[in-house]
Amino acid sequence: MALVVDNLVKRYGDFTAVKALSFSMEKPGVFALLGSNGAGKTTSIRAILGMLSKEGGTVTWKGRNLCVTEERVGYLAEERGLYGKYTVMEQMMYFAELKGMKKAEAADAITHWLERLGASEYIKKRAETLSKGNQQKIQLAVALISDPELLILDEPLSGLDPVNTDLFRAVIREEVNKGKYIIMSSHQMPTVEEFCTDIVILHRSDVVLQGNLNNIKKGYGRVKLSVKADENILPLALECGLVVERQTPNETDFKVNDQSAPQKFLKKAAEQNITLVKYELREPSLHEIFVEKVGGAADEI
Amino acid sequence: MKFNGWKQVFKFTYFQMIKSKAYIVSTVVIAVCLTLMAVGLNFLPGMLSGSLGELFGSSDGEINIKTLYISDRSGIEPALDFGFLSEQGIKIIPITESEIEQVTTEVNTSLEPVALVEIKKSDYGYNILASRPEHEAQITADDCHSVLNLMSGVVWASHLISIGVPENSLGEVGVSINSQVTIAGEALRNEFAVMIMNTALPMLSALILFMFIILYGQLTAQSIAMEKTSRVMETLLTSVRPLAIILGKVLGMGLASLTQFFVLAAGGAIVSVIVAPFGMLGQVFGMVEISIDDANMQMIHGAFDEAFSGFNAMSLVWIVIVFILGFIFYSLIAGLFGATVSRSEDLQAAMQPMALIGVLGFYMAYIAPAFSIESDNVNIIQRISYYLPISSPFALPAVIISGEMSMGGIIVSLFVLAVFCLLMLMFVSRVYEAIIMHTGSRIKIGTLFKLAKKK
Repeated sequence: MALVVDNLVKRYGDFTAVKALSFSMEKPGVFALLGSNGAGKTTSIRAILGMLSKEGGTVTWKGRNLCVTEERVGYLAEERGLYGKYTVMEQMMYFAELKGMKKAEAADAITHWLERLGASEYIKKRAETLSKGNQQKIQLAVALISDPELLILDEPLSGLDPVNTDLFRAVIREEVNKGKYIIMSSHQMPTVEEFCTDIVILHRSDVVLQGNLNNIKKGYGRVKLSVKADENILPLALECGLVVERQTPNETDFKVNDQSAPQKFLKKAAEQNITLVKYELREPSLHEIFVEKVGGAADEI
Repeated sequence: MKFNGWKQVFKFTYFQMIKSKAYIVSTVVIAVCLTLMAVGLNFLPGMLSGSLGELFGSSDGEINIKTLYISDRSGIEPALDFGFLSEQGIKIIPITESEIEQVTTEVNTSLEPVALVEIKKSDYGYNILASRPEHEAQITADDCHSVLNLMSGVVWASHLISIGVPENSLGEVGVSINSQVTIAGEALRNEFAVMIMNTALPMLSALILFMFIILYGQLTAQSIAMEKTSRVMETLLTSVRPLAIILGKVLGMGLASLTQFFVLAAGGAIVSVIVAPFGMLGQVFGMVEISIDDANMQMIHGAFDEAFSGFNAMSLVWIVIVFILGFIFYSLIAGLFGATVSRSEDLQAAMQPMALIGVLGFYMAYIAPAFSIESDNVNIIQRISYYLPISSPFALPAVIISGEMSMGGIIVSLFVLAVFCLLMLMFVSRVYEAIIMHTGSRIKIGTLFKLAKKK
């Protein structure tokens, strides 16, 4: 096991922010820490990194207690923070030197990451003059500058435009391919599904779902049916025992309670010469699993 | 391990500080003020007394009176002789009592530099009254005072001669008598030096140290609060421990303030050396020769010599050590308070306890010596201020400069301060890691002590 978080507990007075969180990462990849707003994701990350004292549990990295100042750890915080008055170069050099990098090595890494993120032109600019998205690029570059083995990304894509979202996703993909251990917290479920192998979902400080994403989905079975047709298929679907979950002008999603219902629906549609443009029997998406698990809290996402 | 990375924090803090506009502007502004002060201190007394006029070859110092009517009704025999005024180009016209009214009218309306002096015997001595024209431009009150000073001397000397004092003994009659009290067996102190040592020196040194230590302490707290509020702290904490951050910051800020102090001190010294030969400073500090006749300046020079008798290269080293320890002591407190807030607008309120402690220490160092102004005894508050960590950084430099404190005393005082710095570091290390990521309302002092106890 590379990273093991065992029974992590964090309390603020009488309030328990994280209740016995446990997970592990056996091999490189992306682990998703999901949850509704205020579920305890950021607190968990801070406690894992040792920024917050913990009331219980252990965090080990390669068999030893994790000490972020002694390991190659990169962290992109949810609330971005840069020195507004200092230039990008000054502060990146400072953060690199704090990571124990030599000046020349740091300068090379700064050049590389700014080029990769398309931010070279800002190297001599003060951080406060940059847009939010560009500040976020600098933050990501800071997190990656020391080529960390363990990378923790707290909401890495929030607030980015589609172009920069794709850029960040490409960079994360590259890090995954380099064999990095990545813990990612995000509300963007498609992105999580794209990268993550294992997940944990927190809700009001409790772990409500945990495990390998594929296995979780398999466990649910093919319980979702998406149908698109030129004609009205609703009466037929209801007759076959399908339950309408979501209806849009173009498509209808059904919940499958009886595994024979989709086949029955398909057969009857053929008999009635109804043209089906789309017929997809599938496992639930992470978004749907998330909504089911955290219930009403998902509205806040 | 807890302090790994402090050097990088120290280096970054120091260089960012001395590169900042605020630092450069404040250094330049203070340097300009110091230059003006040095120049002012050097030349102002001379300008006021007229001696500067001599320096630049102007006519200042001369009496702007061309005609002087004198009514001598002193009754002194032989008659008063003001012949020396004629040698200065003043025309002397003796008048009788009956002519006074007419001359008064004439002087009042005159457009010429003319004056009237009446000398009369009174019950307790003599009255000398000078009258000048109404038109201020002709003769100033200062001109009249200058003449009256000279004439008073003649009246005083003539009176003594008239009552039988030999003319060659007049100098001895005016001998000054200086009364002083001293501790049996101890060398006699220069009173003016004691006054400098008990008022000006403690005030100046305490004020300078207070400004640098408290101001830069506040900047340390502000910097930590800013890193917390801007969330930079989270990035920092993935590389360095909180204690390394505060240590690096305290030392970086300390060096920045020392740099500013030495830049200003060096600048002040250079300006003083340049202007000294042309005015008062050179005489006060013995850089130029003082006339044997100038008794006042001899006395002032002697007093300064005595007040600064302990000032040498070694004393400078001691003062730097005092400064460093004082800075560490106060900045650790400041850094701790800076970490108790998560919003920069709470910082002022959070810093109040430190400001109170600092002001108390400052006033102990500044006020206590003033109670000993009449004597050279060290009072109890002064003695406490030398050893109490909140006041010793402000009190010690003055007594080190004046040589008032023994080497042993200095070492004991610094040892006490160093111990308290260590205790403060231990206290800070107990609570700092627990509060550095605190968000929400400001942490109370009581909570800090609870955290220290809990740890």
